[in-house]
Amino acid sequence: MTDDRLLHLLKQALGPAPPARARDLWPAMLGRLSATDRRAGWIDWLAAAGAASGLAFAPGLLRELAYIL
Amino acid sequence: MDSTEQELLTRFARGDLDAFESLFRRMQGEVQGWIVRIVRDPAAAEDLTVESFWRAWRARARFDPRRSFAAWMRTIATRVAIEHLKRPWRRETPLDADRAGSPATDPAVSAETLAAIRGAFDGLPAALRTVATLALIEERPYAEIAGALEISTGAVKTRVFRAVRLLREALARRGVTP
Repeated sequence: MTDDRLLHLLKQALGPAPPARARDLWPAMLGRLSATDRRAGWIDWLAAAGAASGLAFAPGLLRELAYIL
Repeated sequence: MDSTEQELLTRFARGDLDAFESLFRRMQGEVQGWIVRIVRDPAAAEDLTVESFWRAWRARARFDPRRSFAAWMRTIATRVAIEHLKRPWRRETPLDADRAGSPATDPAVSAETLAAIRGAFDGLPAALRTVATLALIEERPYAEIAGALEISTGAVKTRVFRAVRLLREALARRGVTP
């Protein structure tokens, strides 16, 4: 089978690419962005809670943290 | 690039959501069209378009406003599309029979042969399949493909060559000799 023949068959087998849908995706984009923000906010709160409980159990950490910073 | 365009890109890089929306609305069609050429699935292409822009938004601080936004987006979109093709659980669509055999259908070629070719092509590694689709089926210029994949045009030619060789081997294993 020559390259030309293979290419001809390949094009025939796959056909042309289907057309892309004409839909405004900006609302979906906004949804994705706000979902990410919510997830980030949740992680921030978890980190803050962890830090707060760490300091509650070992207040001496605050002095060491202040020294490091 | 005029100063208005440069300003828009600078605002985007600084995290201005309005600038991002302007770029999104301007580029959505082009990015979606590029992705659908690779994955050949309009529904998946919608999700992948949003994913591509989301990645662009997250990486905005690293974008150089002197660069082409379209070229940058094409690079991101290509990466996202290849990742999609690598997923073993992605739904099968595109290469199915009803889309094949459009205008140039050769009646001398059996449906089984075409199905075998589709199967063999679908079995190529995602990166090679992407290059082969863009170069051989979509007939995109090698330089454009190279830019999207951030490789040289020589590397594009090599990948096309490898894709054709693997396709031939897969067809031979299936006993296809059209």
